[in-house]
Amino acid sequence: MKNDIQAPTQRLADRTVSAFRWASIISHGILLVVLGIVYAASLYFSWWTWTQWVVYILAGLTVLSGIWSIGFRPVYLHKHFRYGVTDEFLQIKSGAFHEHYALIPMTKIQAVSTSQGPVLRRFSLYTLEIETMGSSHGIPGLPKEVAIDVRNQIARCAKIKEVDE
Amino acid sequence: MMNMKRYHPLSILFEFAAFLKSYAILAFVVVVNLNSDSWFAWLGRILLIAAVALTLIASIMKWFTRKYAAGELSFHLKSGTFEKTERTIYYDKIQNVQRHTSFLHKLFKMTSLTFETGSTGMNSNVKFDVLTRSEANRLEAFVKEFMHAESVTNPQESGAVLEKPKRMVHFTPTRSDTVKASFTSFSFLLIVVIGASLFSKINQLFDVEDYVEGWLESVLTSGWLIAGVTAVLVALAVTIGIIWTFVKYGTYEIASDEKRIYISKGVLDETAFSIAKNRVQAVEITQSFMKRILGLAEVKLISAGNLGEDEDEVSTLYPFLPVNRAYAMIAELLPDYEVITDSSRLPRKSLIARLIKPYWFWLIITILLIYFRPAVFKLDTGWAVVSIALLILIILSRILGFWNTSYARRGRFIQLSEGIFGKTTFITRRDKVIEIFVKRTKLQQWFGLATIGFINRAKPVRYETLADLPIQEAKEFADWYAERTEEVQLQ
Repeated sequence: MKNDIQAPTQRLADRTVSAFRWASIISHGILLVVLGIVYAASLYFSWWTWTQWVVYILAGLTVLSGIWSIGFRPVYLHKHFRYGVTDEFLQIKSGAFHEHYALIPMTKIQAVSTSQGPVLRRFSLYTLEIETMGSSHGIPGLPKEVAIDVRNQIARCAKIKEVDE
Repeated sequence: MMNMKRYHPLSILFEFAAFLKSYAILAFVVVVNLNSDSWFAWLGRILLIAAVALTLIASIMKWFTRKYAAGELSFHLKSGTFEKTERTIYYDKIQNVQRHTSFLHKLFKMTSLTFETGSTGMNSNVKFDVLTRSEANRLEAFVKEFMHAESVTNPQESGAVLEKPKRMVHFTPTRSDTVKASFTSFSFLLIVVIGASLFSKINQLFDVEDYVEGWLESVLTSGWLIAGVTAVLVALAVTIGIIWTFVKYGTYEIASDEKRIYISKGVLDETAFSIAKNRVQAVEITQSFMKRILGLAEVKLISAGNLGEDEDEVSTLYPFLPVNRAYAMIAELLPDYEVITDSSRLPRKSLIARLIKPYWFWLIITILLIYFRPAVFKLDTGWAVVSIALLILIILSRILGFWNTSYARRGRFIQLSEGIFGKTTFITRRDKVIEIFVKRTKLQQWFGLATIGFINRAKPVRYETLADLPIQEAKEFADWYAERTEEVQLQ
């Protein structure tokens, strides 16, 4: 695209797509099971009929959200997410419909942490969380070595403090 | 260990006074019901006496256990009766200083002092509720040495000779300023509020409504009387308004020396605020619709430390400054800063983009209106009228919003103006911006536009955004920010 903002180049690991797919499948599966239990209970204990309607609507919404977040979102997220780390700045760009680009001076970063849920562990991926004075950012889905490298690099650069803080 | 001092013994009294103030209504109810023998009144009385006794004991114990010391580099505070806490607060972390002298403080020739740091959370400040003035001066002097960061890195040796820096007063309101302020803030309407609350209170006690009504009727029969009463009422309203304004803003003083800015105000309740010039994170100029008509503006200094609640907001330079004077004052106080008066509007395509942006709010309201079809103005089609009126209003506000939006970037400064009826201008320096972002929706991508935003330290953190800037400008904005490393000093 001609109008592109100077984009950072680093990408997420390719297997994040599958990881996010699985995470969404599991969470939506759990939701559907819970809704199923509520539905069964409402039939068994003969609750008001509107409770069943609520379950239908919620199930419909869950299916729609499932189609989006299993079928499309992981691909889009992976395709459009870029990050870049230099000695002075951290850059994060994400999103297609709502493109968001942030430029954060290393000196303003307060904390950086890696985290890993059960699904990410299965794919040996890490999420990097970066907290600044004014906001927080996440880089989801980095391979272990990269995550630790980036974390250490940020930690090293963020140690430098500006005068007047 | 340095010698720790107890707080002033009067803090017990002040704490007790604060307690009385917050429970005055409850106490009043109990006292009024003194003759009542119901179990409820008894319970109230016992609870009240217990609360008074406990508060007294607690404040005395607190006074015995709380200690402070001002060291060479930091404050040391000790507190806690059962659970001991020790805190150390370094002077160079202090963002601004506030001195508040309430009427009660004045009676005892005391004052209170708050040092605000930039950190978040419960313990973000160091507060001394009751201090003698000399002690307050002593503490403030400690901190002042450190409030500007340069002196930490390279202490000036000649500073000892030039002990007293030249302090210059930039502004004190004249009588006409006060009168103008009084009318701009509609303070003459205050009489309505006071009158209404007074009347309702008297009416509760004596039931005077019928009497007043009869009296009013007899007054309203004579033209001269009406004129006389109106004149008296108007004069009273204006006088009360001016007195109120004077008490609030009459003794404003804006002063500065080489390193710091001092703002003090208030007649009965005095507040003094001081901030180091290089700790000013940004400057905000606000104009309400009324102030815009009269050519007045309010200038606020943004600090990373707390600035008190809305009412006690202390970082405002006089809120009713003539616009030109306001701009000049910014230049005088902060020679670094400069208000760019010829900032540019957005291009026409951003107006078009703003106009064709979806009208979600209108859509939801209209769907509701179509569904319920309420009869407005006794018309069956009233709902349609409301929907159309709302749409016109929203379109108009978008056009006005576009009209009032302007943007300028010069050197290391950035300046944004936005508003619909009023106008707010935000000016900050590249090195004070802690983060930037550029956002684009699909619509903006089609139009070649972007939303820029930046974050400044303040409490709470300030997010400034400007929608629908040309993408080229947005790119330059990001590049401009990336060049901040040139002027940022590292420790």
